[in-house]
Amino acid sequence: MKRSATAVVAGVIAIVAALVVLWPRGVEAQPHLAESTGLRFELTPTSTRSGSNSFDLRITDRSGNAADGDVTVEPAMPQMGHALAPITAAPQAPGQYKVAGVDLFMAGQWEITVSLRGERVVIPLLLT
Amino acid sequence: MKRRVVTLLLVLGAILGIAAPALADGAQSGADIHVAQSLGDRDLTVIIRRVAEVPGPVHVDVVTHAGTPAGDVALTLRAAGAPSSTAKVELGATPGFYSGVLRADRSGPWELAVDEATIPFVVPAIVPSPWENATYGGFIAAGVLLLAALLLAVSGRPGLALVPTAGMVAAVAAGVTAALLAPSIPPVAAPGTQLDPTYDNVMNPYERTSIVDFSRPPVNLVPGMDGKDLVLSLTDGSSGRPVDDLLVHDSAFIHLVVVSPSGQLRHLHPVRTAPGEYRARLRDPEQGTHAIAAEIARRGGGVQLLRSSVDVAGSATASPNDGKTETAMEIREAGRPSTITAKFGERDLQPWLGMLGHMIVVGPITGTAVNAPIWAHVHSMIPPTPGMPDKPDESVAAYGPDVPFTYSFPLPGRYLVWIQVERDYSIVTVPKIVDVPAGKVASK
Repeated sequence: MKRSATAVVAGVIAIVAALVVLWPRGVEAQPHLAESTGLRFELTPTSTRSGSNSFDLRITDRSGNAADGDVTVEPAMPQMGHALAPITAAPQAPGQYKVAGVDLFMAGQWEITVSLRGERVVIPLLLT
Repeated sequence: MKRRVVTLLLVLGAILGIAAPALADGAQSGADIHVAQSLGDRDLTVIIRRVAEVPGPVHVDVVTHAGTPAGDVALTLRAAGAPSSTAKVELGATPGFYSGVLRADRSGPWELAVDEATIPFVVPAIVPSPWENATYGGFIAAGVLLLAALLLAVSGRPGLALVPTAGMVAAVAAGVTAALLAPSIPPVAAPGTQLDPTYDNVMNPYERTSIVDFSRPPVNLVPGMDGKDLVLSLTDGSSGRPVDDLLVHDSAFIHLVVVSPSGQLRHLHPVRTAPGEYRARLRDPEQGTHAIAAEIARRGGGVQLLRSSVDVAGSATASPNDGKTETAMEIREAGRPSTITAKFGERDLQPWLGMLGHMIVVGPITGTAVNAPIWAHVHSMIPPTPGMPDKPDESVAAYGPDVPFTYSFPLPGRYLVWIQVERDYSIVTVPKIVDVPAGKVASK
């Protein structure tokens, strides 16, 4: 009786350990930070996979106040020498913008250029 | 007792039977090779289909375009200079696909000759990778050891059965480890694209080399005229030796753009006639100095743009680029992305050089195209469509009608722009002129 209980406990521990090690971990979309002379850009993609994507943008000045103005997003894929048409971001709240329906159709290294009032940052984005 | 042994054998046989046939799976599968060839008066696309097995057939499709004269072309397959098989392809008057079948008797570096043009290519060997061998080997060993353990156990020697049991656990561990790690093992340098292909490295593609940087020196381009043919001589920028390691990139060895003095464009794909020598015919040339630009990629990676000019003796009148289409242009100031969308009306465009459309940009024009500071080649890519092949060939006439391009004109001024697409096996070249305003902020 005691022996079988030990065996069951050992089995459960082994299975849990195997699950912890082997559980597939997706890369979660992390915010990407970039700073220009006067502004601070934070870009969060919805997904890190190729296909239709959307970006949440948070733009503040260096002291943390929300920035306003027309925000343009220019996706490009340097490896393929391919650029997409620039997209104007839709303002959501002060300093918050959203770009929806960006068709990043190919997996690989992308460069997202975000510009506001003549200040621009280039944010690299790796899609799988 | 006897029955038990028979059942065990049957079960193990089934397990081994599942594992064994997977050994036949190859590690690499080559892809079709598409090469555009401006061969004499013909504009051809030569497609070498994936070679499934050796010895076996090599299927070659020759795609003709509108205006290609009918006639025969001779296909010859050579290995190390020795011809191994030949075929004759009769090109008809209607544009389309014409096929020939050759035979390759082994894997390795090969050369396909289409009349005087030669196309080097690699027939890959189907070699299982070391991690595949470890995976299958581990599982097969585990099966055999399990059988041994069971036989020892049923024959009344359970103590002795522990030895093969332990071996089986080790074999399963080895197999599982190899299977789990295989996807994250970096690929080896491919013969043909990174390494010079030899019979040895094609047959043994998993041998690793100590090379980490595969890039090669820049190339010198010397153009010249030989009758009606434009002959390009390519030499290595460091050793002066002929450059004979061009890769097929965007479906051609060289993308040669020739702009005549009056601003007419030709997009040609010179054929390789000797190591480091490529030629393309200029039909009905115009008199004067032509600007030329060649895009090439050497083995080891990286595309280079080589610009030059050549004096051509021809007639005073030019044959103009006469394609017409509606375009929507959104031109922003220099340095900002501009978009140009050509609208071709119907959804019947064919992929040309693997792309939906090409846009050649030359400017800002102050004198002639020869001294224009900017020379660009913009692509409109084929968006991946579910249900369509990844790399469709020209027989798929289902793209468009809108062909978008995004390009950031680096300098303000007047640019010559040509948009090229393929429709009904004919290349449509639409000339445009774009005026790019200066940026609001003075450039540094």
